[in-house]
Amino acid sequence: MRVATDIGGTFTDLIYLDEATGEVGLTKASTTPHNFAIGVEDTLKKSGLNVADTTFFVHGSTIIINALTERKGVRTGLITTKGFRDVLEITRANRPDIYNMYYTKPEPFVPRYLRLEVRERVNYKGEELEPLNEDDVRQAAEFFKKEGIEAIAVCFLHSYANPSHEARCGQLLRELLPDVPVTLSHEITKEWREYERTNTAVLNAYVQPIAVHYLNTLEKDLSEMGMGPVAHIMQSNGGIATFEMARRAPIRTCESGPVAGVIGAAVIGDLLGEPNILTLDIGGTTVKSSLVENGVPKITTDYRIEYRRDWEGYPIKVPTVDIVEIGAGGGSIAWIDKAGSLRVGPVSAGAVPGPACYDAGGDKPTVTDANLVVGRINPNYFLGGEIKVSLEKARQSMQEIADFFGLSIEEAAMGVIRLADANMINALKLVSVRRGYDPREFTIVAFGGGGSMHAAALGRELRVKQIVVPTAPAVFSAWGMLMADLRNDYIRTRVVRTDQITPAELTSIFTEMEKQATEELAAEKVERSLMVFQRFADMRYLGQEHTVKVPIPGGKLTKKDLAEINERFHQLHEHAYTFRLASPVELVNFHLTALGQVEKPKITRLNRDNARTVEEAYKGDRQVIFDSGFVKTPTYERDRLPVGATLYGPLIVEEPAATTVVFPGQRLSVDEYGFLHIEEE
Amino acid sequence: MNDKDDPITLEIIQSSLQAATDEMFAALRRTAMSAIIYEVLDMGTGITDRNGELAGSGAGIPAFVGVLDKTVKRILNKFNQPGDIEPGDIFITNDPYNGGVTHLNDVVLTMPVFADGEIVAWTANIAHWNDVGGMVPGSMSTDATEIFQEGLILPGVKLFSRGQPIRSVFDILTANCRMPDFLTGDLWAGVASVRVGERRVLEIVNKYGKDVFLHAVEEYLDYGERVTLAALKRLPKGKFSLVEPQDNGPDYAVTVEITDNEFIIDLRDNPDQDKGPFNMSRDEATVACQIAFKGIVSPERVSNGGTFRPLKVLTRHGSIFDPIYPAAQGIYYELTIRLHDLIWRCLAQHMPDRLPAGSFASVCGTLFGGIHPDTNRTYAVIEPELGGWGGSPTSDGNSGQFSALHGETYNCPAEVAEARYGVTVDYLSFHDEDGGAGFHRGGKGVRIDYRIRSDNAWLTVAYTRDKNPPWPLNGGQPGSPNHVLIRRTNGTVERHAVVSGLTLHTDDVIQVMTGTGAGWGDPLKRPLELVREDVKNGYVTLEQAEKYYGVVFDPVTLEVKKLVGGRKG
Repeated sequence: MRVATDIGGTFTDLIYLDEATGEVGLTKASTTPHNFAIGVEDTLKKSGLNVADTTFFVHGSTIIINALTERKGVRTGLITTKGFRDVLEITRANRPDIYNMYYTKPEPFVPRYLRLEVRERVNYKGEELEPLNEDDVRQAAEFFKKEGIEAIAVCFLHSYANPSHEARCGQLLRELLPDVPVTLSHEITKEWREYERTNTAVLNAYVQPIAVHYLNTLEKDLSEMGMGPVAHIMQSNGGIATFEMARRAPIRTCESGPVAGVIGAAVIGDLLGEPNILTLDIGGTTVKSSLVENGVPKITTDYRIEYRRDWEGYPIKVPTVDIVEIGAGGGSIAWIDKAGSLRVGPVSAGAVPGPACYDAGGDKPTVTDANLVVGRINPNYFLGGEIKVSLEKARQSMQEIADFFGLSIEEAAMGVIRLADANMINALKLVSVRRGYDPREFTIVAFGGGGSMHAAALGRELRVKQIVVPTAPAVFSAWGMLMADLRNDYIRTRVVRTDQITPAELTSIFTEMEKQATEELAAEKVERSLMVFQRFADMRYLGQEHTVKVPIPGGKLTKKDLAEINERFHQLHEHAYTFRLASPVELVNFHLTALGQVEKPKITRLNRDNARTVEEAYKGDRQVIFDSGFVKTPTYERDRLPVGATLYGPLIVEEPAATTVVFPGQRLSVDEYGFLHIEEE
Repeated sequence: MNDKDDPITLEIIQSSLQAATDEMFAALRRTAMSAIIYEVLDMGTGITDRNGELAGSGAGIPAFVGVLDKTVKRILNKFNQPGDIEPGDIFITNDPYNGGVTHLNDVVLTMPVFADGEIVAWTANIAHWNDVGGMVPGSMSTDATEIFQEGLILPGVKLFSRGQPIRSVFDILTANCRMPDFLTGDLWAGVASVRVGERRVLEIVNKYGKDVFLHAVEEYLDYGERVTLAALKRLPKGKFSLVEPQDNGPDYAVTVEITDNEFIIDLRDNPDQDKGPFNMSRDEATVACQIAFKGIVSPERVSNGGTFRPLKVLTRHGSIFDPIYPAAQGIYYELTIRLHDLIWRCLAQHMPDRLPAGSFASVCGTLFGGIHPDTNRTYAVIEPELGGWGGSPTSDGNSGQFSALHGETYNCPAEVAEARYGVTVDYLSFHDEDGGAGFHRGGKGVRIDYRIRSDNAWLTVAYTRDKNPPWPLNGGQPGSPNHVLIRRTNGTVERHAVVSGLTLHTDDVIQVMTGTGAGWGDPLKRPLELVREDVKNGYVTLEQAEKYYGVVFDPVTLEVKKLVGGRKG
């Protein structure tokens, strides 16, 4: 039995797969913020599973990201190189809200008096200029003890090039303050730029005791329920890791929920022979999109929490699946700005009070209300009928917009939908068109509560190949967790020209990382034959700052390999930026991705009763607006649609937690796995 | 509904234009060779309508948002015969007297976008090049007296004709620059950026049709104007004036008149043009006024040609804000921030909800270079510095932030500077100099120490707000001055705010000291608990607590020992 759980803001989802029968099951329980482990246990109990039969357990949660954004971490101290205590507060000094004279900088997670300096220095080549002053470290430890510090971060200049001072400092602190966890910056990231590395170490320290407590509790409870040592956690990089890793570097698990959906989408692409995927994950407050090219999700090393177009946020230098998130979801509120333009989002009505149609105190028009007004949502089947929604309230909420622009209620609702679509399409464009990818070569995989509601319109606008709606799209992220491998990323900064490095040197940079990766995966009980290493280098023209990621061949590298790597860089640069130069080429970062492959569940073909017909799935007609004007539209129940069925839009397919809208001129087919495909006729 | 009248279609076209300028910005940034472009982001991108009215601009530096429209208008004016402008052409200028607006180091590229044989838009970008020739490395000298000494002048010429580079122009460019490799890289980055923009605009035109596109752009400009006019209604009306002493030379003066539908900035009563490079073109004076205007009237992000329609700027030809050719203009940017700060100061007491007390308000442009001791390559550092912003009625000022001219600008990490330039950064934190006390404190200024690692390096700085520190409001204390200390290996210390081509040798230290912002309100009324927190955090020293805040603390326990200087509690 393979089990995945995903803790969300409102619900904790569980999905399981019985390897013997191929049966997939879902349960949901309320999230329990006072002790999240209870929600996880509730879903396990509710599922009726025999916990002892679990052979593999993956867990994703928002606990780390919430502790950060709600500032509920522990009292943290920081030790820096002498002369650099304020780097954490200065940040990079930028002001994205460029005209605002009242801009407020991010407040550091460690106040100034808890940022201490010690004398030590290495240079960018890793050479020691001044030894670590151990007396300074001892004094710092004493001060932290007096101040009741619960976690310590250490970041010294150039520790990416030579971590020995950080390591010795950590050793001393652990001797002097055995109960206080210490985060050394180089243990989390070996990239240069002191602010980003310091902040990463600080945020890790800040949440570490919380992560440790939570994971220990969950582990103990699972064990008491009879589960063996099979628990894993989803990481931001799209791989899974052991609880032990998550206790050491919890900052690597910030995006564990959203990332799993992307992994799941890549798996579906692989299954369908569609290696190029755009993910479309529409929830209550945001739309998220990510791009998968040749079966591989894009990873960013420029991840920031709380980042907005007008605010810098906090950088975390941890490889993270590159997801663009825009404040446009089902609950996004439509409003009229001061100059008289219609806007949608980023403010959301949330779960409470929710859209106007919930009739729970909210009267602001939302995207969900608009979808209800134009007939795309069935008022009697919202969340499978669990929530009663009011069409009347939804219509009332649109009145102000209709009056302001002199439109009918329906036209106002269509305006809200089209604007929401435009915002959502921006998320898709930001990861595709804006980076030089042609959407016509991509398949959209739509999930989340609202993905399949908007996918047909967005896909048409972007002219994608097709849209796929997987089974149970509302809990797709949990499903994705079952599909992930163990994964560790190793990144080293060392700036060197391609004409000034020997193949042997280049090889040894990677083999050194591969040795460490092998040891760490072995510690996670991965067999050698299941370890897969992928090498990359960030490269640029001499003088440039920004880099292009270039794949590097495995094994012992030759002169010929080096020449090919060079040429590969020229090609990739020209593809992205329309030109190449005769300048020398530099290598900057060396990146190793280490996978420990885990056995994944087979996705079985459905064996639905052949006697079943489309007519049995038909639920009747209703009036729906697609472009303008109501059209009589047939509706179907998803579970009853036969495999191989082909239907022509306009039509609507309903299931308990999602609605799939198919436009006139589009064709819907049901494949052998039960996935829905939408294509233009 | 016809697409042309459909507000949603128009909205989508306008967002697409915005996205296109963002993409142009990313292309320029990611391929540029010079830190001043890719790290400091001393660059800007924009798309104008067919007449050169700004229709969308990328993020980055507010100081560059208003430049590109002026370039396009100048090119249209100059190339006004049929066939002068063809598809695939790219124009280049850096001449402040010919649509270049700023100074010779800032090079503007612009490209027409053709649909059905007719221009429908222009894409453009501006970026600071390390060196364009002239009398000193880095091209900017505080000693220049004519623009010819500040580098190669490109008076609005074709760089590409029908998609093909004009070899001779490229050759002239590289032959006139001390760092031709950097120049070539930065030039191609600019070309990539205008071409990406052209591609995106054409996609929009092809999708919605030319007429709908042109109409949407026009509507967008009108929308920009409506936003401004609506915001103007909420400002206090009247005529406001200020005369302010300057570090070097005569006072500057401004009068701002705000009516229901106009915002008039009168700069006519200002000194005659400078004999040196402390001048700015009339176009650039307008840009400085636009930044101040936008920040005061409606700081929300939308800004286009329409936004600035209600703004009128009056200058006197022959003055520092409108000099006569061939006056030098290399240090124009320090006048931009002076003018911006002058308008801000003039209006701050009338609009405390929009404008905090004075900030360090200097670009603190710091230029130094020499030979990298590890690579033997020439390096050049050209960077603005971070300083403190002023306190406001609602909060303390920000510490260690770029000036108002720099928005999405990133400082250079010590780790990167040490590798790239071969200097050692000994210190990068706040300093303890007096200044900025207030009910709400000014933000802290920054000290950065660069230790030079090779002989015969050079340094040029041109800081203002050295003799006249940041101005307080409502009874606060002034901030601290901007300056540089040179610590020689023999123990001597020199203090500078303006100096050109100073020679430095191995282990000499350039100690940059930027101002702490000014305070807002009476420091004696700052709550005791906050003063104690400040002392605990080292934002305020024990001595400063006594001298400015009237509190004597026990140095160990931080208990209040006594109140002095008239503090009531």
